[in-house]
Amino acid sequence: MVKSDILGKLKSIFTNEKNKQNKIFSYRRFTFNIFLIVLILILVIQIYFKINKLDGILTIDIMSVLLLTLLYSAIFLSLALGLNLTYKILGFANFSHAEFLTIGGYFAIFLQLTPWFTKSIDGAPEGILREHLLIYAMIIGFFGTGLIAVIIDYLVYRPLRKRDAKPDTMMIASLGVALVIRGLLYVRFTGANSYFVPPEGEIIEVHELKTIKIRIFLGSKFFDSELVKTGSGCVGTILCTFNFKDLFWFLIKIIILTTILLFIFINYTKTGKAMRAVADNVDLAASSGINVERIRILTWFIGGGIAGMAGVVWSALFKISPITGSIYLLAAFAVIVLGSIGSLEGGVIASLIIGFARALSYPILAGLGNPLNRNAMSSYVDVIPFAILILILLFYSDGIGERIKQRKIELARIELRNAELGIVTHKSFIKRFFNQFFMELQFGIIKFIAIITFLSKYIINPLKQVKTKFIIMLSPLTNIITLSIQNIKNIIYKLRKTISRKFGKYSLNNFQPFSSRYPMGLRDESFQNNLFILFIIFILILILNLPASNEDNRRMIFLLGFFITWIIFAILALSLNFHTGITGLVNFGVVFFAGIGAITTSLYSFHNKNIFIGINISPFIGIILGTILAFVIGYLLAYPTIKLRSDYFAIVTISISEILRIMLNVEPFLRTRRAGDTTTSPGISEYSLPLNDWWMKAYPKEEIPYNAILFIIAIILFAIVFLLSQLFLNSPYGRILKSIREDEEVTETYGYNVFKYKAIALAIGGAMAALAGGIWAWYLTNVFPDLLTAATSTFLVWAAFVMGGKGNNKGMIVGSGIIILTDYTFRFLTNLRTTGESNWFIGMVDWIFRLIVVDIGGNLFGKATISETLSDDVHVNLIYLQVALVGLMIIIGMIRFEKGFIPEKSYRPRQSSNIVKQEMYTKAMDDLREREGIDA
Amino acid sequence: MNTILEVAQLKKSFGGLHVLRDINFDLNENEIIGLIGPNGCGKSTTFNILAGNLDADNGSIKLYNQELIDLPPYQRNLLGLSRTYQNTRLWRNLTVIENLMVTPKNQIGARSLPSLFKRKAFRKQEKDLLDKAYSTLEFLEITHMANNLTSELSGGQSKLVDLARVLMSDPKVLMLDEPVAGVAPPLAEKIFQKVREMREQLNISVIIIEHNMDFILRKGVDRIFVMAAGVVIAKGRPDEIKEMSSVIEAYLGE
Repeated sequence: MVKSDILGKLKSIFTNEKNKQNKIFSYRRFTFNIFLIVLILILVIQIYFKINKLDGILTIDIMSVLLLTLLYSAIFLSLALGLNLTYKILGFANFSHAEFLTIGGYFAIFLQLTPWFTKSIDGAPEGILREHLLIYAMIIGFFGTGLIAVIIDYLVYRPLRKRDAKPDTMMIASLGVALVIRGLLYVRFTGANSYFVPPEGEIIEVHELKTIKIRIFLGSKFFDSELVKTGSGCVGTILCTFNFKDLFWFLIKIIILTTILLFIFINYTKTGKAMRAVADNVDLAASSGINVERIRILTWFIGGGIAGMAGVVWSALFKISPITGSIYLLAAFAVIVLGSIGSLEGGVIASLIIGFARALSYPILAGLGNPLNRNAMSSYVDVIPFAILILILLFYSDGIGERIKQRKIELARIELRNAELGIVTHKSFIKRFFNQFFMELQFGIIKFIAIITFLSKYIINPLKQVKTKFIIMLSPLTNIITLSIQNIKNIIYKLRKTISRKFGKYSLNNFQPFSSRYPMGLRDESFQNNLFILFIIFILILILNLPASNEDNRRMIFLLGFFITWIIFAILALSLNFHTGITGLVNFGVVFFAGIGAITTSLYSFHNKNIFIGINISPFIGIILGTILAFVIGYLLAYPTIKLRSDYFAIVTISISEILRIMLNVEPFLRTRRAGDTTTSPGISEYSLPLNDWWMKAYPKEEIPYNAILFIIAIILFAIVFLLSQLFLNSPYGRILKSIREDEEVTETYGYNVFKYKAIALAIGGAMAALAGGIWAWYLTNVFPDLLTAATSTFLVWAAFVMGGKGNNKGMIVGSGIIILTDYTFRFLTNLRTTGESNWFIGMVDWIFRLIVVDIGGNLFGKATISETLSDDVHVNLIYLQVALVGLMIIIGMIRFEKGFIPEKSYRPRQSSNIVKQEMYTKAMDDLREREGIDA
Repeated sequence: MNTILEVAQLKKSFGGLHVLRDINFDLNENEIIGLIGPNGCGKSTTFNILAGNLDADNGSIKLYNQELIDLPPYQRNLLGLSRTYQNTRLWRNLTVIENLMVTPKNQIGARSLPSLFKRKAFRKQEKDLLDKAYSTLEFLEITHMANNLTSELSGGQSKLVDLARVLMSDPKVLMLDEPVAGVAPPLAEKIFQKVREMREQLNISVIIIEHNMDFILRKGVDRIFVMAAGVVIAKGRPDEIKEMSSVIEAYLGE
């Protein structure tokens, strides 16, 4: 019975049939399946070791695993709580949530360096963390981070809500917010780690933790193990340091308390009920008298606050750097998807599962690394949450929490039917007994809360009276403030009216040549074409005037580099457009396919044979192989992911690109051994470049740099990709893809095998990205794991996609041009700084920074906040300012230009074969113009 | 009259909720049948099962003597089965014309490779399809909205576009799920008239789910199947159904 169950499940994963069995979720079967999978894994490892005559020892320290489980689960849960809230109530995946944790951490560090804070609380010297300081820091961290979350909502998400933005748009905007926060944190605090040190002179207590170690012998002795009782238990260096034990349990207790409080709040209070109502149906909630905006603000406050508070405690335990939160962001997403979005119970279970898996996998991976000849094997520990997520999504495409919810409903239905039919089983009897008990408990809790609320009226009502008196007292002041704000708004309004009156006739809308020739404005195809040409010219002018070097050769190298990078990103953007803009598959893993292309291209064109898999064939063959491989992988990727909704699919795409990045770091066949070395280092290098030999013979002194021929190759490839994209888009095939994007279920009922279409679309887009990856490998001459970091690569492509115009291929060229231009400008500015030259822009930015941070901030918060966190020469790190700027561009792009610079072209066919029909067409266009007037 | 669609002993339950217990009905060629019943009796579920959006627990569906159970939705459509939805689902960011151009079957250029290499062929086909699309829009009298995005249409216009779109797909069996729900009476009258014209001019057979008793009982359908609580409790011609006490009971209660 169990076997057929698993076979049936396997079959339903890899075909596009809906899962025919609608069996009720069973905890028993679930744990059994997990157990089975783990057992199979162990068996496979043992057999592999036996066959290859390898030897290995796994040492698992039980206490260490338990404590780390608690630790990771606590962190994941603290992120998952807020993430679940915002996802459920605001309706989108917030990619900037983990930054709240980092912000909280920096709150703690900052406060501890502020003399008036530490002195006012207890007089301890700055930088020293005491328990009661921690409590105050947590409170301030909670409120402060909550406030920041609310402000961000007001600036970014509320304008989007007012424009009825889709959840995908908000998700992308949150990506921008994450980049802005991270960039600014880097700029202010640099990338250094900040942490608390014990006060001088204090003895670091080493805690003895009794533990049991299990040693599992692999390979030589079949499944032998040994229990070792050891007394010393410094479980990692951190667990032995000053005050850690208390702080550790403090963190766990805080998280548990927060979860319980949140659970009670959501389920048993009136506001909690209002939040659940908004999560379910916003319009209905609004018309029931719930102030929806206030609920949203509250959600941000609580969600951000919890993460911030966790960040404060985290900074007390470990170090904080600007990327601390983001390391856990993707794992937190894995947790909430696993537990099903919106389900608090599911989030708790999922945090424990993934926390445990992560804790357990570290010693296992470390033990496997040596015999398998992979030194960095333990890097795979970061992959574990993703792997679990993908595995579970294969079987439960809506997540576990959803299944648990359905189970409760199904059981209730069956209960009802049994009660109707008069059937009583012993199970149902016990169940009824327990149900009774829990209902009483619930009533008890409700009564308890009612009593407390009643009693608190005696406290709250007088307080309310005080508050009213206070408001009345302040009312003259508030009146003045409101009036002046109104006055200012009036003045601004009148100013804008006057300006538009006086200069309105020069606005683009009323510009006669435009309005009569392009009555449809931006939706007109010829207008779009001209706009496109204008943008390209604009970008070209900017780049050609960017002061590079005056030496001709170096200037040419600079320009060639720019154009090649532009081409690479344009192709990546075209690939993303094909996946997301046209077919609607939200792909956050563009860099995965690019990576496949880069790796294959470089691996298959080695000139020195010191590597495991490298073969010396032509680089052209290499790139073709890479494209084909990406095509096949893209197609196969459709199979396990068809049943996933678009945001889950997005998270899976991030997961696979992270997995590829870590593989590049770990796997021996993806590392290079240089001639004469005995060790390998990550990254692939020293491979042949196309037509390089021929070029070097013709221009041995590089009078014309090699990149010139690379540029020609690149532009030919780009032309091919662009042509293909346009041909696909402007055809019945493209129409069908767009209909899949809009509503795929309807497309399926109109005779199209949607699965096939999606699979082919994934394959085609993947192949395009791989082509870009190959060119990238040639241009950089090195394929390093950092290339595949989402933050630098995928997000840049998304910024290009969003700004350029979703759905429009020409827009991709424009968008990537803008992004690469910004990148080059900042890189150029950073270069200036290192060579010591200055520039008005750098000077201005530095001056503003010094003013805010040193003059104002330093005086408000004390010198230590500056000296401890920044170097003596206070300047702005331009690279990270660029990161923040890219984020800002994404945000503004989403708010102001939701359609992008060049929006998607609508299908308005010009010709018709019949004169009568032609008249109909013309009349339709005239009607449209008449009704729309001159519009944008 | 030959039977083209036979539905036998359809069962469907969601856990403990038995929505369909034993559904049987049939459709003859060139016929319009009505499927009526109180809310919650399983009419839309039946449509979902017929179209392939849901899987039945048991039963059989035969279209032109071909078993439809186990066929995925797109293959059912290729056999001639099309449906509309109660809440119109149009492709929102595409224009009206584009919506109509997606549905015709067997288009050249509908797959990836032909779209690259058979361009001359599909350009010609495009012209023919455009003609047909404009004719359909003319038939439903909404040509002036041809170039608008469907997100800009009103509710009634959306229903007409939905009808146009389904006509473009050359259906043999058309399933209309409450085609005039929420539509003002004059427009509803027009839609019903078009449905009758479709049957006469285009030789389509229609199943209609409807609550508008005027159309069902007086003007439109040839036969009626009445559903209640997951079974078909009555079937027959409109004049027969009107008199049946079981029907009156099911709709109005005791």
